[in-house]
Amino acid sequence: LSTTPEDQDYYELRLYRCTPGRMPDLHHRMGYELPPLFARHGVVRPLAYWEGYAGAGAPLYVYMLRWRDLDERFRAFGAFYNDPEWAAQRDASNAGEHMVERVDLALMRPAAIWSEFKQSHEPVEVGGIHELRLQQLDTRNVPASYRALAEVDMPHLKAHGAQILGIFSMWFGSRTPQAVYLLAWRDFQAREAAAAAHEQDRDVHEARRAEARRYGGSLFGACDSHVLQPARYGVPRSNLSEQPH
Amino acid sequence: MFVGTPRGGSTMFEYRFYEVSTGRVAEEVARMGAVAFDPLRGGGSLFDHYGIPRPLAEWTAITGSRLPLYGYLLHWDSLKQRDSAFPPFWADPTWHGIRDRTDADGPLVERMENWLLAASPAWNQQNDDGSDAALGGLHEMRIHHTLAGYSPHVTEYLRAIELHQLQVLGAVVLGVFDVLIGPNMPAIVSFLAWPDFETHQFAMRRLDSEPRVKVQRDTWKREHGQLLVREFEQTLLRPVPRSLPHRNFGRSR
Repeated sequence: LSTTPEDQDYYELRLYRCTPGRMPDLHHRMGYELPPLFARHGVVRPLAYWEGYAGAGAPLYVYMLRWRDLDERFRAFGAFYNDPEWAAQRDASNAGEHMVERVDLALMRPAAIWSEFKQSHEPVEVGGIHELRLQQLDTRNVPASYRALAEVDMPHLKAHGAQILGIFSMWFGSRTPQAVYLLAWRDFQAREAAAAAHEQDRDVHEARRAEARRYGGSLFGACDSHVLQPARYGVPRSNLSEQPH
Repeated sequence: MFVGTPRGGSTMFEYRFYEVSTGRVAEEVARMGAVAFDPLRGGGSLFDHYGIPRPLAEWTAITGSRLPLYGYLLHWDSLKQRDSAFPPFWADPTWHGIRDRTDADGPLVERMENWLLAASPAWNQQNDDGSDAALGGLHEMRIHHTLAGYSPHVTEYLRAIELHQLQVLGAVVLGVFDVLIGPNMPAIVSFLAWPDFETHQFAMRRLDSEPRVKVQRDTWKREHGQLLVREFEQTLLRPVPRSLPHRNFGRSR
């Protein structure tokens, strides 16, 4: 596989457990108050923002950023967090209560198999229902696990209506080795129909049995799934391309 | 009637859920069918034979952690009944045959949890519109982890405000339970049925802006300096069609 500069980027996934009742305030902060402050300190413009009321950590607020350089990332966020204007803005909008109870941060890199599933057309906004899956992999057989995703699962998902927004490897974060991928569905019914088809598919079953025989166990551990809704002010674009200015 | 004797009495609910080997949840549902539902030569199922009740409901998880996940809920008259029914089943050669066959390519179930639950006082089983429909659609398990010592406060909030509002917004209450044995306690577990995902998502947004919910949260913060719900977990569930539950897990029938 050819290596383009984009393949070397880092994708930062930020999962915020929102204080119950504060989601509208958090949207206002992230969508309208923070962008000028982020820009001032060189924090890149997030690729997309989501909210989740359907899984672990709900109410969950999610956004993703892409970095060329991790030193730059730490410098930019450090400067942002030290800005007295951020502190003042945070205290004012928190209004005596934290909006965010807990944060899970992860730094990911694009999985090599992602390039096989990129859209070739010009980037467009991708609406619908999105799904974030965090799939633990067999520590002994990581490349084989990605091959299985590329040859068995991703084609099945695509054939059943998923648009693949991104496929990543956990780089810094929890429960590595872990594949993280982001799917878009027309609606929840489409997602459910695809899940049912995947569970019943004979070829998928046969592939799983063959993997178990060949590798002495399953290539896949437990998976976390979040069904998310993109925020109006930051709907992701195909291939998680940058937002236009 | 499930209530009346939740703590002092002996009636008990067991919520069992299994982390299933990837890609094999349909096999697990089928294996459960083979032991709990499919009739043996004698007539009843293997569960029937050993006096294990049919599940009140069974689910596979759509969202949440540690997927794929299969779960089911049992109602026992007593733990004595439970502990005289399950062990002979576990030793049964027919079950061993089924298990060995289905585990031939590796274990179907990676890990199991079983929690003991009792009907919560927040479960208002009088709330009954008279309908007797089997409830498919989308189910939801909500877990409120409460601040230690404050479960009665959260129970009252759930009963008077949250569950009431969720029903107004389209939910049907299947059951509400206190966790008696399980992790991260104290905790209160609610099982709800929703007509569809869109209704559920709309309700989640609306609940947070309901004036009575806001007032309750503000009161907690004023009187206790914090919210009394320490942590909240939510899982969307797909009910297994052969065991669709009714409102209040069928208590009102």
